[in-house]
Amino acid sequence: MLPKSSIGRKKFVAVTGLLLVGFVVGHLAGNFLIFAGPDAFNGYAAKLASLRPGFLIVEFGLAAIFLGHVYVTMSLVIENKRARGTERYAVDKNAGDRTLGSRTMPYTGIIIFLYVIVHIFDFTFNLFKYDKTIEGIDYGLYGLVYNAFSNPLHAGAYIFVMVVLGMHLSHAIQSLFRTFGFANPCCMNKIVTMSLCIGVGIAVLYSSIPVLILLNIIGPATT
Amino acid sequence: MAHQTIHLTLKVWRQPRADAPGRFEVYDAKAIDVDMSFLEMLDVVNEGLIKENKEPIAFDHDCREGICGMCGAVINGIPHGPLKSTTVCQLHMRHFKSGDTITIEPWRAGAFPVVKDLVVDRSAFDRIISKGGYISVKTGSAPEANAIPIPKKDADLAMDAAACIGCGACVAACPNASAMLFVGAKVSQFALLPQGQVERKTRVKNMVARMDSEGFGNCSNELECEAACPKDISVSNIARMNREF
Amino acid sequence: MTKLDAKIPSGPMKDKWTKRRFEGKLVNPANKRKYTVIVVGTGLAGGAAAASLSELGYKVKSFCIQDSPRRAHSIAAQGGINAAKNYPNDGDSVHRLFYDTVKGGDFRAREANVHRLAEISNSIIDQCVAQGVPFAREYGGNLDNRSFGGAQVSRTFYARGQTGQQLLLGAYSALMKEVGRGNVEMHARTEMLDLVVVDGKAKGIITRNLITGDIETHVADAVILATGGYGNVFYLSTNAKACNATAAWRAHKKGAYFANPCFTQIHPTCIPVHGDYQSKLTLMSESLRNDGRIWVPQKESESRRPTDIPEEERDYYLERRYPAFGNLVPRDIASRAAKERCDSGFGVGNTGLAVFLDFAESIERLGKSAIEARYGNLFQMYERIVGDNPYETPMMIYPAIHYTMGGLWVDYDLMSTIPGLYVLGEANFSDHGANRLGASALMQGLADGYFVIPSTISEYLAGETPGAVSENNDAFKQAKEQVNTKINKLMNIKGERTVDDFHRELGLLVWDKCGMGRNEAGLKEALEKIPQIRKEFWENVNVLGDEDNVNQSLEKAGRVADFLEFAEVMVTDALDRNESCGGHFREEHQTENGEALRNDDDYCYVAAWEYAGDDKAPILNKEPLEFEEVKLATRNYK
Repeated sequence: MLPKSSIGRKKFVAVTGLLLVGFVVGHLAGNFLIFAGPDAFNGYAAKLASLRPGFLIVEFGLAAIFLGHVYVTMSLVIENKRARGTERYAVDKNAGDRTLGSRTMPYTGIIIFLYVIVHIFDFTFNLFKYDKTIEGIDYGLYGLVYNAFSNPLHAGAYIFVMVVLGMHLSHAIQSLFRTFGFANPCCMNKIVTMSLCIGVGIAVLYSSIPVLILLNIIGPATT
Repeated sequence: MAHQTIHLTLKVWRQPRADAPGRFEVYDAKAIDVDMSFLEMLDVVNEGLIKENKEPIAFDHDCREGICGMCGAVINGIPHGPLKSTTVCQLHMRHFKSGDTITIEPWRAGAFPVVKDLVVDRSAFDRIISKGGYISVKTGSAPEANAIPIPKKDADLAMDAAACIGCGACVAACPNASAMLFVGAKVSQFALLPQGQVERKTRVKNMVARMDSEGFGNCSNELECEAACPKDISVSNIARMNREF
Repeated sequence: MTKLDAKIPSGPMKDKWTKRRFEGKLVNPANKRKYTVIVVGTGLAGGAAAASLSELGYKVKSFCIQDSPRRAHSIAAQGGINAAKNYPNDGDSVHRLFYDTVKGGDFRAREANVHRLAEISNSIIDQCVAQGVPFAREYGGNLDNRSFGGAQVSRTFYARGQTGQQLLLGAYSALMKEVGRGNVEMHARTEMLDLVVVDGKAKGIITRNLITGDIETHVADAVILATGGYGNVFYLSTNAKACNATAAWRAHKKGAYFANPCFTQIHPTCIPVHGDYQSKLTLMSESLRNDGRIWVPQKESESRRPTDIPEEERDYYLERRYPAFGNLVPRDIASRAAKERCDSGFGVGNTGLAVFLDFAESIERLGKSAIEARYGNLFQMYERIVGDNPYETPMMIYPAIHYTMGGLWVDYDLMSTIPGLYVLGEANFSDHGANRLGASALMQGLADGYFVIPSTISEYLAGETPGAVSENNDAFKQAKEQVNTKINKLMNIKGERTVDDFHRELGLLVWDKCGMGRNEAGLKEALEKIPQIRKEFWENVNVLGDEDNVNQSLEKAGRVADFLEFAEVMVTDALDRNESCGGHFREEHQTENGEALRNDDDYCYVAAWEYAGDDKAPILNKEPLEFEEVKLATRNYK
């Protein structure tokens, strides 16, 4: 079912990547309900849960897209390494515009992949056994998130991964345009800038939640 | 004539045969005239080696005016060396300083096996072209040349793509040893011209299939190919190929 | 002396080619696949021939010494290709292109061949456009033309400054199409080292695989040489480093006559020599003369910077001497005029062997951007090599060896004196006489390859039994043996001097004595010295490395060894041709104004030299030239 040709697989990666970007944005919107207080946030989570089992199709679909994206990119990464040949350059310099984002794509990808697994267990199944109560009151998922992000270590790890995600996207989005064949030289600079902005934006916005919790700016008391 | 000269240390990849292991050898290049081209500098080093009964460094070269695409070496980590839009044969020694150490390596890519020293086998490019890098018009069957007007803009863009010299620097520079700039340029040239429309769909499919089977990597949009290209072939040609595919 | 029959069809000039195509024997389509044709060389002529013959159905084996057929030196041609389309409506016609070429060749070309070339020229443009060659276009979408030396019409089609590249890539793509189809067997990095002649007919070649060193035999029903010119006999030339005369020379030693070897072209707009280490010279398109003005200071040994020399102290010597054509006089005339100024002490640059090519006036008139659009890549190339910015200071140029009009003798069908051996493109002698006009080499190469040989080869093949000879034939064994012996000999000398060292010595000698100006004493001196260099070469050359591996020294050694033999014929021809014509300027024969003085009474012939054996003087055969259409006249560009 998966495409075999190089360009076919590139396009597959781009399409699945685009869908995942959509998910990342949607997820962010959901996350932002945290600013609306525990009821809104928990209510949103409950609403999603209530859509099951029908919603499972969406969830499994999303998982398939994600795994497909990972699987095909990994196969490309392995092939690309092999294509380089056995002998490495003794001096390997950049002639061009390789960015940190482009250079680290496979690595940022692996970090995101691992984090997603941890993240599902973390907030869905409460892997780290966080208390859901804040000052004795049970706030459900809201409490779990609040307590998790109050732990600087957990918050720090989360922020790190969001920065990684931002880096991944900063290259991914412009790459996507090229793969789909938009490459008018006059627009390409704008696309590259936009891609960078989206990467930075996603990292900043996602990170804003733990940061604001750590700084005690949001919490059950503030809403 | 007053000639300014420089002294250099060369670290050159020497590999006696395709199947033999290679290693770096260090040579002194003394009293190198700054007006020499890089390949003339290698000529001088080779003449010296022969005088010492040592086998000269094998390197590909032919026209020495930057158009045949035969020459190519990675110089201090950059294909064709530090000067942008320039083949090795057009790189002159005035761009180096006395005392510099210059590392000279062959193109390295799985699909470009080393044949000897700095000489590599790029026949994979020919095989890709043989799968569709042409317009199938038999000699004698062409219509009058001005029968189909072509907008100047399209003709110019096609010419930009057609300027590729097939040297392989794009593959050498690409972190994935991808040949997409080379293939993309050829696909673009014909996609932009009315004459290329008939075989448009099959051409890109067949050329990409061959490119894949030759063991070139995939494009991850790192743009190193464009930066290394001595003829400034734009990566927009890769995008156009993606669109064609 | 053998009577050379050029087999020119009878009848009026304009009907000869049509007549020939009708009267020639054909091979029926079902039989074509039984014939194998070898094509050596993959430039414009070879690539076009291999592709076109394969399209017709013949089995083709194609050979080139580079790593890919796309790299043949045709690729380096910059300026353009002529055709008599008359798109600009400026009075051009097949007849005018024919006339200009005969006159430009200083009446030493075969009229019938030139007329055919002019007739075919238009089909070439059609063919190339259909192949996707991105020629320059006007805003309306039609093909653009520009003017070139030696013509007063704009008939040159071009693709920026890379016309040769684009035409070659067109021929290459056609060739690769046939390779992909499985009908052409491509042998890259393979050098032809001998021609095999069986019962007087060319039946195959011996090659060396330049990777493995294997000596291989290839059998065929006909052999086509499209192996380019011999300009590298001068060591420094605008040819690519690997250009050589080996294939042609070995064929010559097997019985093919060498015609007019003294007709060598010196290109006026090249970057001057700047050091002893120099490995080659770089040409910049003659199209530069469209907008550049050539001058030297009026004062001898001028030391001011060119931009400081006022207008009235400059000598625009081409405009002064040739007001009608000005800076657009043919190549031989422009080159000689530059030499004359430099020899008189007005040369510029460090060596005094350079003249200025100045764009200041054009930049002022048209704007820098217009000049950049026309010549940007040439200016960039100049700056890269010389380190000077030609937008600000005038370029310095000097003539250099560029093209060789002489080559193996061929008849109207392009067949040499060995039946079954055809010679195409620069490797033959046929179309340019004593001087080639700009943008005509591409035209000839493609005409020969796409249109002439596919029509003429069937005449010969129809009379041959396909596959009649096998490689077990003694002639193949013998030729292979000879090749091996020669290689062993070269490998075992282990002397003191490098191959390049000998090549440089030979080059300097022939450039000095048989270059832009030639005289009896100098030529005789060269004839004495060449055998001495050759003798030392065979005693004292040092070829290292192995025979069964990539060995670039060995490749060069074989080629230089042949140049050392060939040079003697070239000089002999120059000595024998006791007149000045085109690129052959015998200093004894010039007008009061220093123009070439032809001698039509005694030298209106093609000199075809026959090999007489090692260390024996070659034998002269003559093909008289008759001019029916273009009246013999003194070339006048004033």
